[in-house]
Amino acid sequence: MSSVAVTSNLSQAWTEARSAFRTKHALVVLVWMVAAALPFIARSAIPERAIAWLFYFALAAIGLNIVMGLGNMAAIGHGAFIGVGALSAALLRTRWSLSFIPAVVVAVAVTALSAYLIGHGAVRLRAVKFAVSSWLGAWLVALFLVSFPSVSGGASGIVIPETTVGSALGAKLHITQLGHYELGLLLLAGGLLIFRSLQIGSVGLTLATIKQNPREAAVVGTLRDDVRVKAFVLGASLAGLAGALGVHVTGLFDERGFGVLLSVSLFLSVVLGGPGTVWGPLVGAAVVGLLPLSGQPLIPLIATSRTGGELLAGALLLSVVALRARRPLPATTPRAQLEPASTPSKQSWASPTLVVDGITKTFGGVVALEDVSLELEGGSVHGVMGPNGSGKSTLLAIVSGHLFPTTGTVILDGQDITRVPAEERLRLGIARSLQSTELFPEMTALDHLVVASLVDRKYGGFVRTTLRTPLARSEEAKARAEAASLLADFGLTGYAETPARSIPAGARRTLMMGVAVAGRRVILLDEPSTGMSPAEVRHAAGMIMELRDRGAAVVVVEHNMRLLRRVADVITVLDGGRVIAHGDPEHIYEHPEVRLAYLGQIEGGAG
Amino acid sequence: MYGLFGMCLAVLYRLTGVVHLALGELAAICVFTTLWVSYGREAVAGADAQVPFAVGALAGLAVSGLLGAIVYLVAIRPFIERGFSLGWIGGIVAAAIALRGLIAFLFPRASYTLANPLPFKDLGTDGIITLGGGASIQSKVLVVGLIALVIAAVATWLLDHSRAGAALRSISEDRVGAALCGIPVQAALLIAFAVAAIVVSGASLLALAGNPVTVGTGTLLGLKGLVAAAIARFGQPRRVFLAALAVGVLETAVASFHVGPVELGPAYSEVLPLLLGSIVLAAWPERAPLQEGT
Repeated sequence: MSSVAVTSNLSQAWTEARSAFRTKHALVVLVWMVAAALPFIARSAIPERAIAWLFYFALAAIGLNIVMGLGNMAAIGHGAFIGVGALSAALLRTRWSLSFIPAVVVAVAVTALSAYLIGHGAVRLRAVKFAVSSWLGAWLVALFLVSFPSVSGGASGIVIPETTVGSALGAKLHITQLGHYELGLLLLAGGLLIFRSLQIGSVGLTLATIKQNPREAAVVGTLRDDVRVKAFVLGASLAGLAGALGVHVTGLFDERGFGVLLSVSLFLSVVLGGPGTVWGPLVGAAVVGLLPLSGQPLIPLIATSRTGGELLAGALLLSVVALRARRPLPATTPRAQLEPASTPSKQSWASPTLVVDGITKTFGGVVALEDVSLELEGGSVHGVMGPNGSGKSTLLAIVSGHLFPTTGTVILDGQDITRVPAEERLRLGIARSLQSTELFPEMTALDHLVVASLVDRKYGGFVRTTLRTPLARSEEAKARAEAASLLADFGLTGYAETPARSIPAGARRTLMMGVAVAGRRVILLDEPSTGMSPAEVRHAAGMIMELRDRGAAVVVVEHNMRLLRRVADVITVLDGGRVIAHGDPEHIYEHPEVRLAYLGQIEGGAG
Repeated sequence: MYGLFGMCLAVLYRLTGVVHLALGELAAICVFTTLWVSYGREAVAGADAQVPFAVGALAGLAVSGLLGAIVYLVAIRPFIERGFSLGWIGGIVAAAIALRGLIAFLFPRASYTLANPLPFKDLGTDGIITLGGGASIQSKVLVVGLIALVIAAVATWLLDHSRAGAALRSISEDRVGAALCGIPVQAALLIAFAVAAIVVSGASLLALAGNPVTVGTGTLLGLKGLVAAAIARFGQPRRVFLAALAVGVLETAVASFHVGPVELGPAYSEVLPLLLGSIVLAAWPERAPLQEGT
C-alpha cells in the first residue's frame, strides 16, 4: 500500500473516530486517565503490585469472555492458559536467559500454539464435552506443575530475574510495580477494545449466529469452526499474556497459584459480570479480586487459606449461576446500525443458468429422488410441488449443496458444482431460504440481512475485524447500507431494529426470503407462504416476481397452488421422488397424474 | 475403579446429558466421613477404631448419597430444566470445588491413612497371590477388581432387565414421554444421582483401605474415570470398562517404564492419562448437533 493510501486511510479512520466519539467514550477515557495518574497522586495509598496483578487477571477474564461470551464455549479450565504463559515465561527467563520482552512474546506464542492444538478439535465438541475437555486441561496443567517440581520449581518456585527492558545512558531500564500497573491498565484498555471490535464486527455476528441457531447458521454459511478456533486462541493468548506478565509482578513462579482454583475464579469473574458484556468481566474480576481467590487478594477481606478460598469460590459460583438462571442478562447480540443507502438501488444480477441433470438420491435402500432434471434461466420462476415425502426438500438440499446426489450433476453457468459444498455455492450465488421461522431470535431484521452477506466479505477476517481496518469498516458500512436498502425493498424497514423473536410470523417469512435474496442470483425458497396471511402471500408473490424481473433465477417449493399459479413460469411436480409432470401452470393443473397425486382421483374416474 | 467411575458418569450422561464432574469429590467425602466416624479426625495408620469400620463406612455412604442427591437438586436440576448448560456446568464445578474446600477445612493435614479392616493380607502369601509363570498380583487389587466387575455387571444387568432400568432407559430416550407414561422422572433422576455417588464411594472405600488419602485422592479417581468415559464417548458400560482398563494399564506401564536411559515414573502416570483423554477428545471430536445451544 502506498504512503498516500496509508495517509488517506488514517485520515478517514480519524474522521470516523471523531464522528463516532460520544460523551460516554469521553467519560471512559477520563476514568482511564485518572486511574493512570492515581499512583502518582497518592502513591502510598495504592497497592500497585496487587492492582497490577488484578489488571492482568482481568485481562485473562476478557480473554475468557471472548471464548465464552462471544464464542459460547464453556471454558471452565481457561485459567490453565494463565499457568502455561506464566511457566513458559519463567522458564524462558531462567533457563534460556531470555530478556523480558522476548520471553513474554515467546510465552504468549507457546500458549497460543497449545490453544490451537486443543481448540482445533475441541470447538467441534458438544457444549458439555467442550467443558469436559477444558476441565481436563485445567487439571492436566495443575497436576503437571505438582508432579514435576524439577520443571515448576516445586515448593520453592522459580525466582524471576530482574525485569529489564533495555538500557539508556548506560543504565538498565527496569519495569517497576508502577510500570506493571500502567502496563496492565494499557493492556486492559486494549483488551476491551479488541473485545468490542470483535463483538460489533463480522466475527461477533458470525459467532452470534452459531450461538443462536447453528442449523440456520449452516444455511447462511456462518457455521465456521475456524472463527471459533481463532476466538479460542485469542482468548487463550490473552490469558497467556496475563500469566507471563503476572509472574513478573510477583517475581516468583509458584505452582500453588496456578491450580484449578484459578480457573474457577476466572470463570466466576465472567459469569458474575455477565458473559458477552463488555464491562462484565472487569466488574467480575474486581469483585473476585476483593476476595482471596485470584492468588493475590487485593484486600484480604477474609484472611483464609486456599481452603477457605475453595469453599468461598464454590458457594459464590453456585449463587451466581443460580441468579443467572433466574434473571438472565439481556441479549448481547451485536446490533447493526441502520444506515440507509444514499440512493436505495434495486439489485440486479447477471442472468444465471442452472441445470440439474438426472439427479438420483438414495438413503440406504430408500430412493428419495430418481432421475430428476430441471433447467432454470435467470429471470424465471420455477415452481416445485408434490405431496409430503415426494422429495422436494431433498431436491432443494441438493441444489443448495447441503446434500450431494448419488448420481447426476448440478451445473451453474457451465460449471459442474455437483460436489461443491454449500458455503462455496453461497459465494457462487446460490442461496436457500432459512428452514424455520425461529431465525436468529436475538438478532434484528437488519442484522439478518447483514449476516446474509457475511459469506461474501473480503475484509471480514479475524485480524481485520479485530483491528477494525479501514477496508473492513468500509465493507461493513457498505453491507449495512445494502441491507437497509433490501429491507426497504421487502417492506420490512419497520422491523429493522426489532429482534426476530418479536417479529410477527408472516413478516418473519418475508425476512427469510430477504436473507436468501441478499446478494444471490439463484434463490431457493422453501414453502415461503407458510404462516402468511392472504395479504402477506400477495406481497410475497409480488416480491418473487420482482426478483424474477431483476434477473434472478428463483425456485419455489410450495403447497400453495394459488401462489405458484401466480408466480411460476414452469412447474415440476414430484411424487415418490419421480417427476410426474412438468410444464406451464395451466398445463400442470389439468395433468391427470397431478390430480391423482393431489386429489386421489382422475377426472371422471374413481379414486 | 476407574471403570466404575466411568460407568456411573456414562449412565448419568445418557440419562440427563450431564457430566458429573463432582463424582470424585463425593467419593472423597465418603472416605473422609468414614475416617471421622471410625477413627476421628486425627486418623493415622494403626489407630484403634472408636466405632466399627462398617458403621463408619455406612455413615460415609449415607452422607455421600445424601450429598449426591443435594448436588443434583441444587446444582443440576434447576438448570437442566431451563436448558441452561452453562448453569449446571458452573453448578457442578462449584459443588466440586466447595466439597474439596470442605474436606480441606475439616481435615487440614497433608495426608491421612484409612485403616484396612478387610482381610486382604490373609489371601495368598502376605497379600500377594502367585498366578503362575512368575506373575503375581496383590490380593487387594484382585479382590477390588473383581468386586468392581461384579458391581458393574449387576448394574448393567439391572439397567437392561429390571423395571427400574427400563424406566431409566425410557427417561434417557425421551424424558417428556417417560413422564407422560407415568414414570416419576424427577424421583428416578434423584435416586440415580444418589446411587451413583454411593457406588463410586463404596468402591473408593474398598480400593483406598490401608492407603494414605488426601483431599485430591477422590478428585484423581474421578478424573481417571472421566478420561475412561470420554475415551468410550460416554457409551455402553462395556466400552467404558475397556477404556478404564486401558487407562489403568497405561498408568501402570508408564509408572514402571524404564528402557535404557529413559525412565518415566509415577509423576508421568498422574499426567499422561489426562493428556490421553484430552487428546482423544480433541482429535476425534463428535460434531455437535446443529440444534444444540447453551
